[in-house]
Order: sequence, then C-alpha cells, then structure tokens
Amino acid sequence: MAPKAKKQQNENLKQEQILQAVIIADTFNVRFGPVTLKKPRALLPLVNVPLIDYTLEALAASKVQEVFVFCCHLGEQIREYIRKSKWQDGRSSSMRVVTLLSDSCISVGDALREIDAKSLIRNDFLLIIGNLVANVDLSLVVEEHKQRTQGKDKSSMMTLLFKTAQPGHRARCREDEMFLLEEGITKRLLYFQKSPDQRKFPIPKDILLDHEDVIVHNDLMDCHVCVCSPIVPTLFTDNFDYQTVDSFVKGILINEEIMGNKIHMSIIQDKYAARVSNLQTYDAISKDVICRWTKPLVPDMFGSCHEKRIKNGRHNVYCSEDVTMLRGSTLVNNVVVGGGTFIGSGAVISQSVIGQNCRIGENVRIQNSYLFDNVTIEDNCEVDTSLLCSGVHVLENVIIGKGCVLAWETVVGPDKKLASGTQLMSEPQKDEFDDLDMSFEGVDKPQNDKADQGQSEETMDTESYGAKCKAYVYKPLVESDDEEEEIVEEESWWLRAGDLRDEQLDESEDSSDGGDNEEDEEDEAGSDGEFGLNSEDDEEDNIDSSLGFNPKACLLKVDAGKRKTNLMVVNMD
Amino acid sequence: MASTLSSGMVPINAKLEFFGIPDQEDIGTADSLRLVADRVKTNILVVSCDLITDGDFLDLMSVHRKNESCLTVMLSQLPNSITTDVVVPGFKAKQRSNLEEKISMGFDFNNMEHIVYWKAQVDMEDEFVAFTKKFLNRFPCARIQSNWTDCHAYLIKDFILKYLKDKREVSSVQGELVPLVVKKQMSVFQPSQPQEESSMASPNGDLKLDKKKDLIHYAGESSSSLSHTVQSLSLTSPNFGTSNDAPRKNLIGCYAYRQTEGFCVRANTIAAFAEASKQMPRLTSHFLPAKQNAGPNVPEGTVIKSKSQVGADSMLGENVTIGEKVSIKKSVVGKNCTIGDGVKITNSVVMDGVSISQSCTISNCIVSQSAKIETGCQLSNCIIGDNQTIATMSIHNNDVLSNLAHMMSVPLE
Repeated sequence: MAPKAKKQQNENLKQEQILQAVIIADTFNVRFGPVTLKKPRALLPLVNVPLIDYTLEALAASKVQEVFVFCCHLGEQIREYIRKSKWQDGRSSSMRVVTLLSDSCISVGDALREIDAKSLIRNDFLLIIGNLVANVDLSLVVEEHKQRTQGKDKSSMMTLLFKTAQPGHRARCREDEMFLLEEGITKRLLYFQKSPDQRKFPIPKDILLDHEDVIVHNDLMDCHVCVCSPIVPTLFTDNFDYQTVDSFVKGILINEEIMGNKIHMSIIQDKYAARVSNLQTYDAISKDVICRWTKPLVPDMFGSCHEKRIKNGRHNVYCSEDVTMLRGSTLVNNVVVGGGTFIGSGAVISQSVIGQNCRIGENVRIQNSYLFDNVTIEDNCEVDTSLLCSGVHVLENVIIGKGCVLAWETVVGPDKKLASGTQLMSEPQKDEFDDLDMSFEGVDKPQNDKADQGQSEETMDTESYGAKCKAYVYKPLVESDDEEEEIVEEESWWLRAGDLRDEQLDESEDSSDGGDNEEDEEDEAGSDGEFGLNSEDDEEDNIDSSLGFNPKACLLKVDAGKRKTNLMVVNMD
Repeated sequence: MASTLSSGMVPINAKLEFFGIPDQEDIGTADSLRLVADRVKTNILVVSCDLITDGDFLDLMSVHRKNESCLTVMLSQLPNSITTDVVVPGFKAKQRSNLEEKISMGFDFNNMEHIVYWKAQVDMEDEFVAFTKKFLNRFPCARIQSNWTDCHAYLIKDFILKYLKDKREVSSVQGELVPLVVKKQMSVFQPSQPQEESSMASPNGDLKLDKKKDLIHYAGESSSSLSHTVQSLSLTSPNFGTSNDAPRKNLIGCYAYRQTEGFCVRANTIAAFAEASKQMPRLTSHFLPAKQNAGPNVPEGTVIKSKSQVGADSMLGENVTIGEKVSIKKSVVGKNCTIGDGVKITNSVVMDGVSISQSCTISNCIVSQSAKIETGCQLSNCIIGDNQTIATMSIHNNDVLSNLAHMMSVPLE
C-alpha cells in the first residue's frame, strides 16, 4: 500500500512542478514589409542570431520545462529550424519544445482558443506574444504569481510584465505607448490604456476615490509577457470578442465588479526584456544587444559557436575571427561583423550589423544598417539606415537612402540613388487572390505580360533602380483604415525619437488639466518660444535615456566614439 | 490675546505684531496674508492657530531649502488615526472621517517630497479626471494618495505673496492657492525678448503680455540672472547647459514635509478638539516646559478630599476643589472649578469656572465655561454651552444644551 501511495504522490508533485510556456510566434500583422513574405518573423536574424533563439534561450534560463511554439504564417520553416537546432537534439537541459501549426488563426485570441481545445495547459503558464529578447529570470515572476494566487487573492488571473523605460526610450514601441494605473501596495492593475496619439488621458474618478494609493505610470514598456492562470484559455474560448491580450485585460477590468477577477502587474527595473514588433523596435533592440544590455545574450557569448569565434573589441566592435579587412577600412563603433566577410579598403562601417559571408567593396560607407548573410555591396556605395536581406546585390555607386528595405535577392544599381523609405523585392508582388504562379526569377524582363491583373503588379523600374536591377516595389496591402495609420507609423522608423514632430506638438499644449481660458491663452503665447528650442529637450530624452541620468552632463565638448581604429591584415588561416 | 501670549507659559523670542481682521466678512487665509504681503522679504511661515504638533519646523524648512521650493506644505497621517472611530459629544452617530476634506495628492515617484497633483475630492465634479501628455512626460511615474491630511502649515516664498496681492480673487490658501501653485509648476518661463523682436511680432502680443501676468512671470522676475547662471553650470540641475534666453522650467516647485512620528492634530472640528484635549495630559511635557512632579498633573494648592481619585491621565487647573469619592479619569478640568462629592467624570473636557454638584456622572462631554450642573445629573456625549445651568436629576444623551442666541451655525457633519 505504502509504496503505491508514495508513487502517486510523486507523480502529482511532478505534474505540478512543470513550468510551461506558450510562445505565439506569429503576430498576425505585417510590419517588416517584403522581408516576411518568404521567411517567418521568428527566424529573422537579430544581430546574426534568429529571433526565436533569443526567446527560447530566455525561457531555458528561466527553468521552463515545456514550450509550445504556436505558428501560422510559414510555420513549416520554424518547425524545420527548431528540429535541426539544439533545442530538439537533446543537448539543451530538459526543455521540451513542441511546435504547433495552424492555418486558420488570425489573432492571439484564436491561438489561445486552439490551445484550450487541445488541453495542453495544466497549471500557471507563461504566455509570450511575439519575439521576446530578454535576460530576466521569468521563474521569479511565476513564483510571485503563484504566491499571490495561493494566498489571499485567489482571483488573480494574470500577472503582466512591464519594464521601466522613460518616455522617449528607443525601445519603446510607438504603437504600444501605454498609460496605466497601479494600486500602490497590492500591485494590482486598475486602469490601462493604449493610445499612442492621445493628448489627454481621462481616468474615471472613482478609481481615485476608492483607492487611497494609486501609482500613475507613463514610464512603462510592455514586454508582452504574462503569467496566466489555467483559466485564461477557457475565458478566451468563452468570449469570442477577446482577440488580443489587451482586449482581454480591458474586459477583465471592466467586468471586475461582476466577476471579481483581478489582474496584477510586475515591473522589471534592472534587467532587460523587449519585444521585436516592427522595424523601429528591431533597430532599437539590435542596438541594445550590441551595447550589451541583454547580457548574456550578446554577440560574443551567444552568437558565436566553436568554429567561428566572435571577439568583442573596443567601442562595441564585434568582429568574427575569419573576417578579412583590407587596409584603410574602419569599424567605427557598435558594429558586428559575421564570419567569412570581406571588407574592402576605405570602407567605413558604423552602428551596423553585417552577416556572414558578405562582401563589402571599396570606399563603401555603411551606417546604422542591417545586412543579413551573403550580401554583396560593390564599390563606392552608401548605405544609410537600411535593411538588406540575404543575397542582396548592390552594384556600384548606389546611394541607398534612409529607411530602405531590400528583400531577399534584390539587385539594385549601378549608379542610382534610392529614395528614402523604398521597399524593394526581387519578384513582383503576388496578389493574394492570384492563383497563377508569377515567379520571374532571374529574368531581366522590362515588361510584364500580365500587367493588367491586380494592382500589385509592377513593371521593373529600370529608370529608378538601375540598368541591371532586379527589383520590384513592394506596396503594403491596405486592407482597412486602421492599417493605413499603422503603416504611417512604420514609415518613420528611421527617424530618431528626437526628430518626431509629435513631440513638438505635445510641448505646445496646455500645461494644466482643466485650466480656465485665461490661462490657456497665456500658455499659447508663451509657448511659441518652445518650438524652436525644443531640440535640446528631445536630445536629453532620447540618447540613452535608459541610463537614468542626464547624459548631457557627460557630453561636454568631447566627440565620443569618433575615434578610428585601423586594422591591418587580419586574415588568419 | 497679547497678554495671554506674553505672559504665557511658553517663551516666544520673536517679536510679535498683531493685525486685526474684520470679523463680519468671510475672509480666508489668503485675504489675511495680503495685509502682511509687503513686509515679507524672502519666505513666510503660515501656521494655523489650531494646529497642535510636536513636529520640528526646522525639518519643514530643510525640505524647503533642499528642493528650492516655493511652497512647502506640511502633511501628516497622524490626525486620521486620532479621530477615527470616536463617538463625538453632541452627535448622534459615530463620526466618520471627514470625506469632504479628503484631498488627492500626487507625488513624483522618484522624489516623494515633490507634489505634482493636488485636487480636493469635492472638486472632482466630472466623471473623469484628465492628465495631459505633457504632464505625463514630465513626471512619468506619479503616486496619488488620499490619506494625508493637510496640517495648514505652509512655508511660502515672497513672489507668491506679490502674486496674491494682484490676484484678489484667491481667498483661501488651502482650497485655492495650493492647487493653483501645484498646477503652475508645469509652466515655463520665457525671458522677455529684446524690444525689436517683440515689435516685429503681432501688435497684440505686446498688449497681452502687459495685461496678464501669470505666476510664472512673478517667479521669473524674482529669480536673478546670477541664480540662473549658477544653475546652467551645475551638472545636476535640469537647466544645465541652457543659455540665458532659453525657456526655464522648474521655477515653481511645490514640496511636502511629512510628519510621521509624534503628535499632530488640527483642532478645527469638535471631534479633533475633544480628542486633542484628552490626549494633552500625557503630552504636556512635549509642549510645555517640563514639570517637576510626575504623576497626576495636579497643581499645588488643590484640595482633594478623602477617597477621591484623580487619574494620571487627567489634568486639573488651579484652584479646583474636589469633594469626596470623586473619580476623575482621562479628563481635563479647568481653573476655579468646584466638584461635589461622588461625582464621576470620565473622558470629558471641563472648562474654567464650572461647578458640578453632587453625585453627577459626566461621560464623554464638553462642559463650557461657568456652567452649573446640579445634583444627580447624568450626562453622556453632550456639549454643555457656557453659563448654562443643568437642572437636577436630568439625563441627557448626545445632546447639545446651549443658549441658542450664542450659537454659530456650524455644519454638524
């Protein structure tokens, strides 16, 4: 009798202790333009390491034992990748990764309903939406949630994770700007609002009257990670209106009196957690990784394997061991160069990431850009704040303007200048409803026979993109009015936060809530001067505001980071 | 008043000057301040006469200096703990903590002394309270608490008084001036441009500037260019590196000093007054020069007959005559009182010149000056007005017994 009972007890214990996580790898929106047409977002490299690896590594470090990766768009590629990677060949410690594919989901809510239908979740689990880059130990947050649910507050449904980031921090996604109210000691979420363009934030006054201690937060960044109790997927199944976690949270807060469910929050202050949701956050998080905010997930520890070691040099220059650099080329600062790359003489590279086996010609200036593997850039080119995918070939004398995105295997040039914000791909954009296969790979046809079918067909514009080019313009599909606004946001990803015009508009508005008319007039008269002198304030807020102190104090008159390091012959066999 | 102060038990080393305020009009603190506005050179400390506290005003001044504040307010949670759940004489039901006096105060999370939001809960009329984005960008994390009491002790800078002089419609410091100054913290001071520029701008601009001067203009004028130079060179100042004609923020600052220990009460309600009086006997050593004898605060010359007890938590005035079998607990008795035999006084405040006849039971009452309570009365939770005579063998519970002609209209809740 006794041994049997003991065995059962052990089994029960084992069941309870498994920490599960669900990664919704698909964000159900298009933010990366032509890049994600061929490869799913989870496999895009961030500083030369696929995004999914960062998320899985963060979970492994948090002692998660079972991970469900939920994919829709191009999920097969993700499954293949995970199968071949270290996550499923038994090398990583006891973490089981299961890929779930689905074709019919269009939102996070649908994904959770499917998971509920499959009854995979047994107890409190971690829900990660999108691609997380983090070095925070999530098991602590799970512990906090568990203690809360076993203690007095049995009605706590979910604990949301936020990170402190002052307004203007570069990793704060502009789409996700949020404002929320937290109850002082219990850390309960009282009110929350995500509206990026609003000027005034009204709060129902009952919250202030009922709660004696309320903290108003404008300094938080959503990490899109939550610890959920097992009831959460069932609630999604019950209510088809919940499409995203945000609508779920709002629903719970509104129905609080009826259902009595509560949502709590946890704030990270000294670790890093952020999600790559669009080009702006991709840019910001890459820079954060290069500046080592995400240690141990940094290029020299995480990105390098035994064959090709990456070394960390001064000014955050990471150079792989077998990189060839000719005389006169300089890596200024915040640069990562992948293995097998060849950099010609006179090239100046700063604040960029270059993948493996790239070939950079002579006198090329690359600044603030991201190049994936196998990119070739011929002589005398300039690349500024752009994203170049694998296999892109840039011919001579091409100037690529800010914010350009060149998708897989595009060819551009020679002797051309690309306007800011151009998005190009190597094949004509396929209409969704187009059944016929329209691949014209490798053919230099100036005209397209089926030009009259669908508005997304474009003739190759040799005028704009060069005589030998292979490039079609990518037009983002506009489905509804909402999409238009979101795309406008995306287009400005290459502008720094300090350049945005909305900041100036905010400064000129009233300084008080509900001030009388006299005061309004005065404020406007007095605020005219603020327009011109605004840039000072924005610079303060923008550069490395994650530091927490006034960076101007350290700048003085020194031009930091402009020192050049000249490397001689580096090629070692 | 002058004689009381000069002959009082506590020595005041400052020079005292009295300003009369007409009694008939409804005048607030701010109106009264206008009388002295011209005399103030740097800062003025405004204290309400009904504030009883053993907090050190030096700490209040330290907060003021440390943060270069223009208005420093004293806050405390202690009064709440004293007046909750107490049955107040004269009221039928238990008094809840004053809902109408609750103020929602917002503090900057990184510096909890900095007040960024101040709104009385009675003033919140609409369903929504709005925050502007500018405010949220300036103070990204703010903590709003409503369990602090404003003790009505303020340290005010001189330019605010100049502003008060010109703005005659502000009449109350607590209700109007403090919220106004807190709100004006967001203003930015634009040093006036040289003459040519302003004439090139629209002609209306000139007129506007002359007509309406806001608090920020007073602040800007009062801060000298030297202080601005100092700030522009100081690494830790938010104005570091700015030139002389840059707009200046942070000229107006409103901060709070919190008293968390000791005793603090504002005796402006009956409940507070009663409680404060009863707590006084154990605290006299804080507030008055030390007394030689420990034990019941009984002055010399008091005649206490046999079998009578005066508790250690009670206080007697001079010249009090106490009969036999008298029990006085947790009470304060004034001067020249006569207390008959067999009287039981608990939890009460008895003022000067009262005569209480035999066998009375007085519990939780306030008995005003020169009242006469006849034999065998039983009074509980009552307020007896001055010069009143309570007939023999009367029993009163929760009553206010007074001459109507002398009464002030006071809201009972």
